[in-house]
Amino acid sequence: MTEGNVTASITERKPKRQSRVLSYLKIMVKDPSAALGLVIVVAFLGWSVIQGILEFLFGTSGPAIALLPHNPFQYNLVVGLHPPDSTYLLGTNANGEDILSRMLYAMPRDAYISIIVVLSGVLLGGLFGIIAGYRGGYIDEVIMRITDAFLSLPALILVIALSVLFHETLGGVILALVIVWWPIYARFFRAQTLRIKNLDFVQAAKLSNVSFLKLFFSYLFINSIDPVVAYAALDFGNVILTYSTLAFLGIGLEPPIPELGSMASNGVGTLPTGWWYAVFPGLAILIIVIGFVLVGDRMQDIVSNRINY
Amino acid sequence: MDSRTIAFIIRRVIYAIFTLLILIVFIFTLIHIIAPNPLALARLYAGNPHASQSELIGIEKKYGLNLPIYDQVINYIKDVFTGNLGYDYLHDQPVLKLISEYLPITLEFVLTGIVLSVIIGLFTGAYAAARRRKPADYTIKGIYLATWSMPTFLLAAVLQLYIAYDLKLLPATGMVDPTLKPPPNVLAFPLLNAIYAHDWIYASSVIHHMILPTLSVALLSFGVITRLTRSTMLDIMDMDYFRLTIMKGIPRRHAVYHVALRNAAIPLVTYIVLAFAYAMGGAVVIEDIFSYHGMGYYIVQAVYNLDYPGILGTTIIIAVAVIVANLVADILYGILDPRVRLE
Amino acid sequence: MLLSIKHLNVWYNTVAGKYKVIDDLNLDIDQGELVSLVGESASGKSTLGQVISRMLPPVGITSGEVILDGVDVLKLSEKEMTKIRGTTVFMIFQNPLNSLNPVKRVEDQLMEALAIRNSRMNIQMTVEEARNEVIKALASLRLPDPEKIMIRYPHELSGGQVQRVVICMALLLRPKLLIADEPTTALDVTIQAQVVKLLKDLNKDTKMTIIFITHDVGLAYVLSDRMLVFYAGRVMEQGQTVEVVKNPLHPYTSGLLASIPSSPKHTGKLYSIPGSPPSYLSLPAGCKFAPRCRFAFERCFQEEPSYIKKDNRLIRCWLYE
Repeated sequence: MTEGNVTASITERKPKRQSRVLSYLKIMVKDPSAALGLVIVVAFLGWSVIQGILEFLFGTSGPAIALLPHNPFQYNLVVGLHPPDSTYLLGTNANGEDILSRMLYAMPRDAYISIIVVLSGVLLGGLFGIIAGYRGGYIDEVIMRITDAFLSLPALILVIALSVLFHETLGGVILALVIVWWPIYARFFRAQTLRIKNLDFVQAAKLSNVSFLKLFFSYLFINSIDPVVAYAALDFGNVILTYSTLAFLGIGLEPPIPELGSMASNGVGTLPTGWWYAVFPGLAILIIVIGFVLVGDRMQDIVSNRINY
Repeated sequence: MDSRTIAFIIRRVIYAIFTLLILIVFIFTLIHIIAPNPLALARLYAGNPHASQSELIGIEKKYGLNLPIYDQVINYIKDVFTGNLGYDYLHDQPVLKLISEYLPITLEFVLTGIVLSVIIGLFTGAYAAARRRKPADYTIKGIYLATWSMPTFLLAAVLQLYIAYDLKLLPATGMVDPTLKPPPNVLAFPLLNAIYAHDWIYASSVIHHMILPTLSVALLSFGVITRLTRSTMLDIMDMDYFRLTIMKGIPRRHAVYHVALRNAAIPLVTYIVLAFAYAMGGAVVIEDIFSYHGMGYYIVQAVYNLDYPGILGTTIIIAVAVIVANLVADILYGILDPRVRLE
Repeated sequence: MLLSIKHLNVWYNTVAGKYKVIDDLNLDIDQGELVSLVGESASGKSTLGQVISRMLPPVGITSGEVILDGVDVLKLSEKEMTKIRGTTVFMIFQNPLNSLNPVKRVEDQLMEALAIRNSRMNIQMTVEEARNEVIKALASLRLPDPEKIMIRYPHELSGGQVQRVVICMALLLRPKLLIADEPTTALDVTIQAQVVKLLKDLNKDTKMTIIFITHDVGLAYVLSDRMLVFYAGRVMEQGQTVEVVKNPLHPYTSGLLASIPSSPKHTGKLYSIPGSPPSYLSLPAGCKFAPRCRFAFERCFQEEPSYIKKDNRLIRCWLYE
C-alpha cells in the first residue's frame, strides 16, 4: 500500500475539455478487455458494412463474393466434409462449400438484424417508457404491467411462438424480435424519466411552452440515454444469440443464403465426423457476442461511476 | 403470518393472474390480426395445412370462431384457465395431455441443472467479489462472460462431441437405453418413476442420459447466477453495514461469507427465476441436440409442422410455469427480507 | 501519545488519473482528547479517518507514518489490522439507514461487538451477563425500552435510534480511538444535538479519544478541544478550537466561520466564500486556496506554503511568515 516516490507533477495536470463520447472512449480503451471487445465489434461491423453493401448490390455472385476466399455457393462434392487445412481454413460442409466463406457471407445479416431490433427497441421503449414515467397514473400502471408480462416470459420461447405465427419468414422473425425486445428499454426510460422529470431544466422547459415533441426528444429522451446506450451495446449480442438460435431451429431462413445458426445446426447433424462444421459457426457467434458483452460491460461500469475501483 | 404478509401475498397473486391475462389477450389479438376471418382462424386452429373444408367448418363450430369478438375473448380466457389448450391434430391428442407428458421430462433436467448452477454460481460469484480486481476475479469474470455469450447449440455440441463422442464417457443422444422396459408412469418424471419402482438399472440409464443436458443447463445459467451474485456482493460490500462489520474487528473473510453473502442471497431467489426462464428457452436447443423428447422436442416438432395449437399451448404453459416461479420468488423474497413489504 | 501521524501523503490512483488527496499531514493526539476535522466535502477529512482505520478503497496509496497505540498501522498486514480494529480503533459512519446489517436483529449485532471485546480482553461472560451488559449500555444512551429495541430489525428503527445503536457498539467495544465520520449529518437538528452530547459524555466519562469529522464548524466548536481545518487535502489551520474560532488566522478559516449565521464573526448578512473548491485533477499551483483568497499576493500563486507556527497554531499561509 505504501509508495513514496510519486512526483507531484502528475497531480497538477489539467484535463482537456473534450466531447463526452471521446472521453468515454478513452476510459474504455484503458481496460484491455474492453479494448479487445471494441476491436471485435469494429471488425465485425466494418466487415458487415462492406460485405453487406456488396451483397445488397450484387446478390450472390460477382463482386458480392469477390472478397471471400472461395465461392460460398460452389458445390464441390469431391471435397465434401473436408477438414480444415491451408486451402479450406475452416473446412468444408457436406456439399464441399467453404465454411469460412459462408460464415463471412452470413455475417452482415446478423449485424443488420441486431441493429434493427435494438434501435426499434430503444425507440419503442423510449416512447412507452417516457410516456409512462412522465404521465404517471393509470397509463404508467398499464404500460408497466405489460412490460412485466413480457419480461417475465422466456424471450426465446415467445420469439419462437410469434415467428411461427408470422409464418417463419425472415421479416416475421425480425417483427417477433422487435415485439419482444422493447419492454426492457421501456423500463430503463421510465426510471430515467422519473429521475429527471422534476429537475429544474425540465420544469423550466415546460413553463416556457416548449412543444411536447421537443420536450420529449431534446429533454427527456436525450437525458435518459446514458444507461440505455450501455445496455444496448450489450444487447446487440443478445439479439444475435437469439436470432442464431432461431436459425438453428430452421426459423427465418432464406435459402440459399447461409446463416451461422443454421450452419451449426447442419453441422451438428454431421457429428462426430464434421466437428469443424458444427463448431466454427458457433465459435464465430461466441466471439462476436463476447465483443459486444465486453464493450457493454465496461460502458455500464462507466455510466454507473464504478470505474474508480 | 401477520396481516401485512397476507396482503402482500394476495397482491402478488393478483399481479401474477394479471400478467397471465395480458399475455393471453396479447396472443388472442395477434391471432386475430393474422387470421382476420373465421375460416383463416379455423385453419390456424387446425394445426394442419392440409385440413379439408368440412374439417375446417367443424373446427369453426367447435371453437365458436364466428361468434362476436368479445365472446371469443371470454371463451379463450376461460379455455386457458380451465386447461383447454386446444387439440393437436398432428398428434391427434389434446395439447394439454401432450404437455403433461413432455413438461416433466424437461423440468427434470432443467431444474437439476439450475440447482447445480445456483450452488456453484453463488460461491464463485461471492469469491470473485471478495477477490475483486485480483487474478481470480478476472478469471471467473472471463468464464462467466464466455458462458453468457455462448450460443446454447455450441455449448451442447461441444459437450456432446468431447464427452460423448471423443471420450465415450456418456451416451450422445436419447433419454434412456431403448432396450430397457420403462417402469409404470406414476409420478410423471421418468427418473422418479424408476426410483419409485426400484428399477435401478433403468434409473441409472436415465441418469447417464441426463447428465449432458443437465450440464448444459448448469453452464448456461452459471453465467447469469455468478454475474448477478458478484454485482450484488459488490454493492453490499460498499454499504456502511459491511464496513462497520469489518470495523468491529470481524475478519474480512467472515464478513464476506457471513454478512455480505447472506444479504446477497436474498435477491438470489429472483435471479433463480431469471435463470429458469432463460434455461427453459435453452432447453429447446439442448433437447434438439441430445435428441431428448421433452417440451423442447415438442416445440421443434410444432415449428417444423406449423402446428399452431401446439406452439401456443406450450408457450402458455411455459409462461405459467415462469409466472408461478416468479410468484413463489416474490413471496419468498418478501418473507426473507421484511423491508420489501414496507414498500 | 495515542496517535502520531508524520508526513502522511495519500493518493488515489484512478482511471481518470493519479491525484493527491492528502498532502503532508502531521498530527499528534493524546489519550482522552476530542479533536475535530472540519472542511467541505471531499476536502480529505474523511480520507484521513479511512487511513487511520485502514479502510481506504483499494485505489488509495499512502506514504508516511501513522503510529497508533505504538504501531504503524500502514505497515500492518490485513490480518494484524483486523486484530486492532474494534478495540483499538473504531469508526462510525454517516448514513444511519444502512449502518446496521438488515437481516440481523439489533441484539445479535451488539452481542457480537461485546463478544469481540471480551475475547480480546480474555473476559468470560455468560450469555445472560452479556445481555445485561448490552441492555445497560443501551439504557445509558437514553434509548427508551432497550429490551424492545434489542429484538428489532434495523429497518424498524429511526435514523437517530440506529445511530445510537452504533454508538452503543462503540460503548461496548471501548476502542482507544473512536472516529466519528459525520455521524449526525443525516439526522434532524434536535437528534443531532443529542448524538453530539452522547459523544461528548462518552469522551468525558470513559476518557475515550474521539476524532470527530464534520463539515459543520458550529458542531466542532461545541464538541471538540482541538480543530483541524481541511481544504483540498491540506490542513490549512490547526489549533485549540476556542482559539481558532475566536481568532481565525487563515483566510479560509475566517471565510468558513463568516459563512455560519450564528458564529461570533457573523456581521448580519450571509457570507459565502467566492468561487468553489478546486477539483483534485486540476489543482492550482502554489497555495490551493489562493484563487479564492482576498489576501492572496503574488507569492501565493507560485509557491505552496508549508506549516508556519504562530501562537501555538500551525497555519499554511504566507501571510504569517
